[in-house]
Amino acid sequence: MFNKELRDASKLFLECMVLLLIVPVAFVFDKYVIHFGWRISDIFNYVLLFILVIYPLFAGTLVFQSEKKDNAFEYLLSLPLSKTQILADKIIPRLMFLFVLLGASIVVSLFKNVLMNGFSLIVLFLISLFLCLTYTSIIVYFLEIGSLFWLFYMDSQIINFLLWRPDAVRTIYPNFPSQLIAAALILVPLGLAFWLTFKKLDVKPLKLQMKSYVFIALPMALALISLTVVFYKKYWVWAKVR
Amino acid sequence: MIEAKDLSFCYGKIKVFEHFNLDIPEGQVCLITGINGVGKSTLLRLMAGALRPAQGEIVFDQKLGRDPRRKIGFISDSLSLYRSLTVAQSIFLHKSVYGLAGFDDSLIKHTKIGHGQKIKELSAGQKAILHLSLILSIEPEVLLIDEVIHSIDAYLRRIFLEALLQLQSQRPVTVVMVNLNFHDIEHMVERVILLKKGTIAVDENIDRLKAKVKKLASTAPPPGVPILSQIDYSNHTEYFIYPFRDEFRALMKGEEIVDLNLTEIVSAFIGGEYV
Repeated sequence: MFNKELRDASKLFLECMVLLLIVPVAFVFDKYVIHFGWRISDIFNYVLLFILVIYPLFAGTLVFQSEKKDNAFEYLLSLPLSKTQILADKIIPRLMFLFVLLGASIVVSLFKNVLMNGFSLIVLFLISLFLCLTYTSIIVYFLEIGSLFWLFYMDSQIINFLLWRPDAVRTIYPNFPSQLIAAALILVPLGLAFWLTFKKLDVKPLKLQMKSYVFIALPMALALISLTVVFYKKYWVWAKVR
Repeated sequence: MIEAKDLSFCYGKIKVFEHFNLDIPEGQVCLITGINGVGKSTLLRLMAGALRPAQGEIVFDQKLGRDPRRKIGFISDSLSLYRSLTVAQSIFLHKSVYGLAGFDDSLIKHTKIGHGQKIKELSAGQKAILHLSLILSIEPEVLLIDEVIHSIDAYLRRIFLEALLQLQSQRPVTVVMVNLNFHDIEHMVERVILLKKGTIAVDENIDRLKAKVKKLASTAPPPGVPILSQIDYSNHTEYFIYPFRDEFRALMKGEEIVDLNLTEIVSAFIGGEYV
């Protein structure tokens, strides 16, 4: 099972790497057509940033893609594999390639500022992984991921503001503990809903198996959005002053 | 070998089984049938672990070990396999999951399946044979076979059924089949279970069932005889009698009482449900 998942993960990784071809193409396009004066390092930086977002997003989203596409849930669930083992076999190879990307981004960041930090990418991967079972429409799905990632970004700033008050911080950028707390607030209930659903997952239509998301993840998201709205004004007044 | 205990299952608000009980002893070849949507495939999926009961449980003999799925071979009606994998990759995946050292591909050699071919390129019959090969490699104690036999061509069907018969001759394997076309499997089946509205309507040994269901062609219904279903023709009507008793012969003097094969028996029961 691990080998199959490693093959799937490497395929996605290579597909993302193909995006690097944009760099020479865009450079040549600029040099001979639009003459904007783009530097090859700048183009590379943006393409890498794009890959850094795209890979974890799709690595999480497509965890069960082969089962859905091949109609192989029945086969998978009849194999003598525990749910934990299935999940581990699926996540580990995808995380391995994510860490390869993070390593590459760290190397690049020695020369250039790459705007995305590694922790955010792991959060993005986990959000898309935990939501992958709820996928019904691509627009709604990416809206869900986008909203939760935005919530993580906002909440880490607000938590930073609430717990490490203005006088104690030197910057408005959230510190790591704030990001960790914000990530936990989102990922723990979402992960719990995912695990409870996955643990009982069978070949019934997925829409009939979404109870945990409705009773755990949805109230959590609504509560977090409410808290964010309540505290955001205070935070914004403070952030503007800083 | 397989016991469904107080089983309840539903798809959303649609109840399929409620407090359903069934016991299939070791080595028995059992046929589950019934009208479309009655829950035949659902029952098989519950036995295979692909569906989870809302209540109750499916219990397997202790000799199947902690995870019975290691000794259960399940071929679903959708012939569920990873279609994007090649045959060789599927065999490798299967071997690695079950920890098998070798794989006997003699069965798939009959079917012109190339190891480099993708599963999605195979015909339904080839997929069924491949699936059966994968299952036989684990030396199953239980075989669960959904309605796949009728979708296979005559040659592959013969290979498929011969492999099943060979397995049965080697050791007692419990086989549960769901089927609507019984001609090819009639000689294998020992027990027939007819499902009706989530319950067992008929549960009989095949020979006893054949003795209990008879056909009578007549212009008028035979008096005092339980009619299961009937087919009207322009000049006569065929009456299916169940349960047939020998004393009925006296009531039907001069009329020809016809023995039925399994296909006719099941269609008589199913016809009775639609009337």
